[in-house]
Amino acid sequence: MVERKTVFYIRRAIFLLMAAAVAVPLLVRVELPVIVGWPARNLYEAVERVPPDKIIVISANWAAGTKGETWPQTEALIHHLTKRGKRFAIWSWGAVQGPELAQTIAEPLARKYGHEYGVDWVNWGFKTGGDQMVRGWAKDIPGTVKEDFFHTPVEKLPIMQHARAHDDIGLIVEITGAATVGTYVRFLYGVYGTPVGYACTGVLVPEAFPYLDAKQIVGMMRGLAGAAEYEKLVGFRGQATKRMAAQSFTHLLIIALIVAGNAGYFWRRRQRGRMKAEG
Amino acid sequence: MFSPIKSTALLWVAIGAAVIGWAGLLYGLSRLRAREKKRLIIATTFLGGLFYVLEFFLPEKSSLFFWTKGNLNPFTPFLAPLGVASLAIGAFAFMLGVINLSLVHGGNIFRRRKGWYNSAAFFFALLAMIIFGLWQSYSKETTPVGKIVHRVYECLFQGAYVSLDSTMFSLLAFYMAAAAYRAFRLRSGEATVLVAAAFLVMMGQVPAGMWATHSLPTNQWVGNLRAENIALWLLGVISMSGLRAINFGVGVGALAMSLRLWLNLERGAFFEQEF
Repeated sequence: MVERKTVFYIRRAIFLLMAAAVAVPLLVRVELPVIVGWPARNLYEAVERVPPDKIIVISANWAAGTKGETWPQTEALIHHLTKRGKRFAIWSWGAVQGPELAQTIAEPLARKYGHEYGVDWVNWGFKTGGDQMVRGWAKDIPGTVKEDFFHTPVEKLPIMQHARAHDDIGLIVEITGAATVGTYVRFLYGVYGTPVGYACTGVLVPEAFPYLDAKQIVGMMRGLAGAAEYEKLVGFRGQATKRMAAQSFTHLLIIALIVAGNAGYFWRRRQRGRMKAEG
Repeated sequence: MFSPIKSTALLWVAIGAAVIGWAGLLYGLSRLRAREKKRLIIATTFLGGLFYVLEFFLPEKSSLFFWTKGNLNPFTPFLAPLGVASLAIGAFAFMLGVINLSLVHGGNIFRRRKGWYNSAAFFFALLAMIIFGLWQSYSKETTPVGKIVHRVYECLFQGAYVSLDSTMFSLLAFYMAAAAYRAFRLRSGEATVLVAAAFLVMMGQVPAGMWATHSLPTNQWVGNLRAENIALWLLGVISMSGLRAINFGVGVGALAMSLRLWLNLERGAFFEQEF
C-alpha cells in the first residue's frame, strides 16, 4: 500500500518537474550556444545551390501533433527561401493539415521579403493518392495538381511555367513526423536523380541516416535541434532557438531521472540482499 | 495524355455517361457471384501490378517500342492519369471514413449508449468544420460576412483543433519522463550500453551538452570527443549499420509480400469471406 502511494506521488512529482523544465526556460530567456552539424549545413548548401530557373518543393507532410518540431523547421526553411528569393511550392500528400499550417508560416514571410504568390511561390494544397499519385505528379505536375490551395487552376499561375515536371524541381524538402521520405527517395531520387532534403521529428532521425550516408538525402534538419541549427545558418533567432533551452532542460531532467531511478533500483536490490542474508 | 473538355454541353454528356457507366458497373458487380468477384479482384490486382512493373522496368526509350512516337515507353503516358485516378480513389476513402464514423456515432446517439454525448460532440465538431471550412474556402475575406466566416474558421482550426492536437502529442513528454525513471534500469551489460548510448545522443542533441564540451578544440583529435560529434558518430555509424541491416530485411520481406499479393498467393484472413 505504501509502495503504491509512493509511486503515485513520484509520478506526480515527475510530471510537475517536467512541466517546470519546459515552462521556465520559455518564460525566462536562457541563451545557450547552437553548434551547426553537417546534416543541417548540407541541407542549407543544397538550397543555396538550386539555380534560379528551378523550383524547390516543400512537402509539408506534417500535422499539428508534431508542430513543436516541424513548425520551426518549416519556418526556418521558408525564411531561407524567401530571404534568398528562391521559387518554391508547398504541398502535401501525407497530412491534410500540412499545407494550411505551412501557408500560415509562408504568408508573413513572403510579405516581409516581397515574394509574390503565384509568381514566386505557390501552395498546391493537399493531394491524396499516395505513392502512385506522386509517380504521376513527377511526370506531369500541373496535370496532377490541377488546383492550388485557393481553388485557382494552377495553369493560370505564372510560377507553373517553371514547374511542369521532375526536371524543373531543383530540390524537394520533405518535412514530416512520419516515415514518408522513402517515397521521394524511391520515385524521385531513384528514378530521376532529383535531390531530396529532409526535416523530421527527433524520433525519426536514426532511421534517416542510411539515406543520408548513401547520399540519397542531401541534408537534414534533425528535429528541433536541426531547426535551431538552420536558423543560425539563415541568420535569425526563431522559434527553434528559443525552444532549445526548454529541450536542453527536459533532456537533463530525463538524464537525472534515469540516474535517480537506477539509484533507487540498486538501493532496493542491496536491501533485499541484506534481508536475505539475515534470513 | 487526356485534355480537359472545353464545351459545357460535352462536359455534361461526359458526366452523364460516367454516372450511368459507373451505376451499370456497380450493378453488374453486385450481381456477380462471390467466386466471380474474387476472380475479378485477382485479375484487377494482377493487371494493376503488371502495369507498374512494366512501366518501371522497361527502358524509357527503346527500338522495341517501334509503334510509339519517339520510341518511348508506351506505359509512361498513363502514369500521370493513373496518379489522378489514385487521387480520386483516395478522396472516396475519406468519404468512406466520414460515413463509417457517422454510422458508429449516430448509433450511439439513437440508442442512448453510455457516453452518447461524446458522439454528439463528434457530430457538432464535424459539421462545424465542414460548414465553416467550405464556407471560408469559397468566400472572399473582403466582404463583412466573409471576414466573420474566416475568423470563425481560424478560431476552430488554429485555436481549437491545432492546439488540441499539439496538446495530445505533448503529453508524451510527461509519460516519457515517467518511463525514463521506471524503465531505464542497468540490469545487464546490454542495458548499460543502451543507457550510455542514449545519454551520449541526448547530450549531443541539445545546447546544454554542446556547451559542456565546447572548449575542446575542433582542429585536433580531441575535437571528436565533443558531444555533438559523439552523437553524430553513434547515429551515423553504429546505429546506421544496424538500421541498414533491418531495412534490408524489411525490404526483402516487402518484396516477397508484394509478389505474393500481386500473384494472388496471399489469401489473408478475409479472402474466403463472403462479400
